[in-house]
Amino acid sequence: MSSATITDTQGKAPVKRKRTPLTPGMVVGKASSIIIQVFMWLFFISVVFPMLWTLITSLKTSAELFQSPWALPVIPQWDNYVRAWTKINVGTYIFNSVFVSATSLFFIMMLGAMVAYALARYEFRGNRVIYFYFISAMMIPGFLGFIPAWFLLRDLGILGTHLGLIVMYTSGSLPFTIFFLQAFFKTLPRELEEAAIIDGANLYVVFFRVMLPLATSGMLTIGIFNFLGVWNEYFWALITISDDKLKTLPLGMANLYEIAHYATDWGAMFAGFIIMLVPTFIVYAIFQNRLAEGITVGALKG
Amino acid sequence: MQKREKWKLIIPFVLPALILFTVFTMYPAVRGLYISLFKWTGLTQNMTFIGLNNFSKLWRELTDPADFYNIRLYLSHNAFIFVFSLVTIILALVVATVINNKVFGHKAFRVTYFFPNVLSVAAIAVLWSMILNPSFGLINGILRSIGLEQLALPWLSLQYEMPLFKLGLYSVGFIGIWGGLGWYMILFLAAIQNVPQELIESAMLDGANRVRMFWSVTIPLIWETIRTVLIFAVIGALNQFALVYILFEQTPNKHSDMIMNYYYFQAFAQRNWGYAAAIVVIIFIVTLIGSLVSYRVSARETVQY
Repeated sequence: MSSATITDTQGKAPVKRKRTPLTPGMVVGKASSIIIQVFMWLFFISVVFPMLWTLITSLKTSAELFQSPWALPVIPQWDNYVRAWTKINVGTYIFNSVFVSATSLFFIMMLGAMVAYALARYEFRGNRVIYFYFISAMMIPGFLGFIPAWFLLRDLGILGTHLGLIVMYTSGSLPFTIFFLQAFFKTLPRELEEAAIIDGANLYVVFFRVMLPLATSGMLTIGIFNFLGVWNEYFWALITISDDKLKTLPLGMANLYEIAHYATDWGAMFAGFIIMLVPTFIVYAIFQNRLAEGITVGALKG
Repeated sequence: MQKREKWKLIIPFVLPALILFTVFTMYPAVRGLYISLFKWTGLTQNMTFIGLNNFSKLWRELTDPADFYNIRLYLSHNAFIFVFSLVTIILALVVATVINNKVFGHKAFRVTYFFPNVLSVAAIAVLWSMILNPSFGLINGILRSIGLEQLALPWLSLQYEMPLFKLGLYSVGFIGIWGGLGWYMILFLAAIQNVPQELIESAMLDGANRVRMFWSVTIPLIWETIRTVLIFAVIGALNQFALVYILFEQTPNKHSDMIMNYYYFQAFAQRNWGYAAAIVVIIFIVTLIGSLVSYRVSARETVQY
């Protein structure tokens, strides 16, 4: 269609529009639009209000907890946070999760970027085969290999250790990372690389000094995506980690209710919950848009 | 570039990841299929080859009308959750369309709706066990404070009778909507934003109202995304585990357990490795079939734009 016709119809638009009388269809439309509006605000409240409620409740005494949910604490019980940190081991869980996630993320991004770069930039025998070998794992659900992997780690003597988690998280995150970064590297211009090679830089330097900085945006998107995946992982940690000192946040979180129930210390439970959510809040506040992007690519193009 | 030179980069760049991935992802997955053919219990490596016996045992559990508490019951819970996923998808589609129209507060809606998706399942389970707690929970607190005492139910009870399932499982379904809506919404938003603006404008000029636009323009144009999302709903419903496991005190429960909870119990509590491996093989196959069916059912002529 030529652009002239579009401008033409657009130009006429205001003249064409007339006020039409209300039809039954429009009444239904109006009613459903009100229902949708109400639903949307209710859903909005269902996300925001529980967060505020847990925050406020985390400063209440156990007695105040059983009173009206609208009431504010008479004296803010900061001690709840102290007990959460010392008695529910929230600090240990956070430390473990930071360690496991950071280490896994480093290896995922390093190994993933290296493979993706080699596959995107070098033509060689077996390039496609290796690519599809990695990508095919995106179709295979992880639980298929849980039992053999459990025995494998046991035989290697790393079952129930952080290394056992890191190895599995890294390996399992490689397919999507390679898929995403291979496509990303292909979009980057070749000129800078070629210039660097002509200047005599060796191939490794080209990758680490030229390509990686160029790929920051893509690395960030997939990095955040992987970080959240590892940070929130529950099943594999559940079946391997039994030592409480080594547990990651999701495991600690799951036990929160039981511990608080046993000690009847509800204030510390709410406080512990809030502390455990702080890292997620920060990541979400900074990287909200990148997350949406990673998820869209993962679901619709993968 | 020299041929030798090239391999100096390719080998050290590809090999470490290839080995790691083969050992810790590919080999276990393939071996998972293999061990489903064995009778294998306990912590030894003593395995007895029994062919498809694990599968025929599962088939008996599925079809024997006398045996009520079995795999059929767990799958019915998964199916129930899948129904909630379908509701989630429809709601997300509506929400995405409205947000795409840049209604008042659309940015705030987007950010808050998506937030539950960055929480771990454990966090969602704990949050909702606090909200739904019968004595100090938020929901019952609100109901009492506005004088609806009689509606203050034990939301997470697995004894409280409701049509077909217990009240606790309904709560799981609603938590699923809460946790999944934002994710579907983001996908639909991305798809809607790919629809060319001219198409929407010309439909507007033809006098289509919002509801008509939704049915006749938006839905057909993002149909491929809807089909993909249906597959995710199948996968998601079959992979349910942690939410139920944490909400209901980390013990097996016949009124709430899903097929993955049964797998977990058989494998990591009972150590029936071979039988558990057969369960996940079946989940894998059911996932494939379910995806294929939902893909076929939703097949129609693709609209080009």
